Amino acid sequence: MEKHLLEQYLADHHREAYLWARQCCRYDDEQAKDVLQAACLKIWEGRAHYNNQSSFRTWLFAVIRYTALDSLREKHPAIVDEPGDHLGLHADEPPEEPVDYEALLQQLPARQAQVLLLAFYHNMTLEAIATVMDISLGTVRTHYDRGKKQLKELLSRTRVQDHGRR
Amino acid sequence: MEDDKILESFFDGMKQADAQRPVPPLEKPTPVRRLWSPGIRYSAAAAVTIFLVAVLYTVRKRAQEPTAQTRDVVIEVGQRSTPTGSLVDMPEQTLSEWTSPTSSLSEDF
Repeated sequence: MEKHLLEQYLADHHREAYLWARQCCRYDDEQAKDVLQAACLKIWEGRAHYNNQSSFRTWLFAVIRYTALDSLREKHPAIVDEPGDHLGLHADEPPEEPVDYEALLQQLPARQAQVLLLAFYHNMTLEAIATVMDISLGTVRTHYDRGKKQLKELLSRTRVQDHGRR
Repeated sequence: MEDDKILESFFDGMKQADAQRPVPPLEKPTPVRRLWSPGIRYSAAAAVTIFLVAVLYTVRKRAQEPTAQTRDVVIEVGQRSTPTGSLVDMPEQTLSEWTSPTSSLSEDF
């Protein structure tokens, strides 16, 4: 892909790329900036090569996800597979805010949260999510169903607490 | 479907919250300028490796060659000197001239 086209695509998807980087970095703004910069540099230098097998957006999200994973592993060597699996909050600890979106999502296993974010927040198809996450479609479906179920439970619990406070 | 509505409204709320979030500007990455292109660097590395292998081969080959022929050792054998060689000059005397060194003792006696 030519440089000016690449630059144009990156500019077009910059905002959602940053938000996705932030979601991959457990909502850490500074780390998200670094990850996005590193991902752009990879693309710019040709270390990440777009091969037209998926949409540019899907491919960009996959590059960002891998870069975020590398960055998190550098900071937290205990992370082997996915960010958030070992460092997230426990489901028994409800968030303090009535609706704290990020804290609620952090209570889910990282893969489930990412699948839900890609599906509902970024409006991606399950096939595209499988490409971004580099997992099979069946695994995406499993994470999707389990994630939805868990998030609904968390939301209902939050609402009950919210009503209880009032 | 009803359940998905709940989740959709949750993520819509999240999107609205993120809509006010400042996004850092896209900075055009400045690739690091390198003096030599990767092709030249790889070629140079290959050339150095080949040179070192050649040097090592030559050195080992020379070490395996037979060593230079030894020079002939010449041993000169001369006349053997007297084992009791002395620097004292002993004058030769004839028997008629010879006097006993102890003759004075017999004379005294």
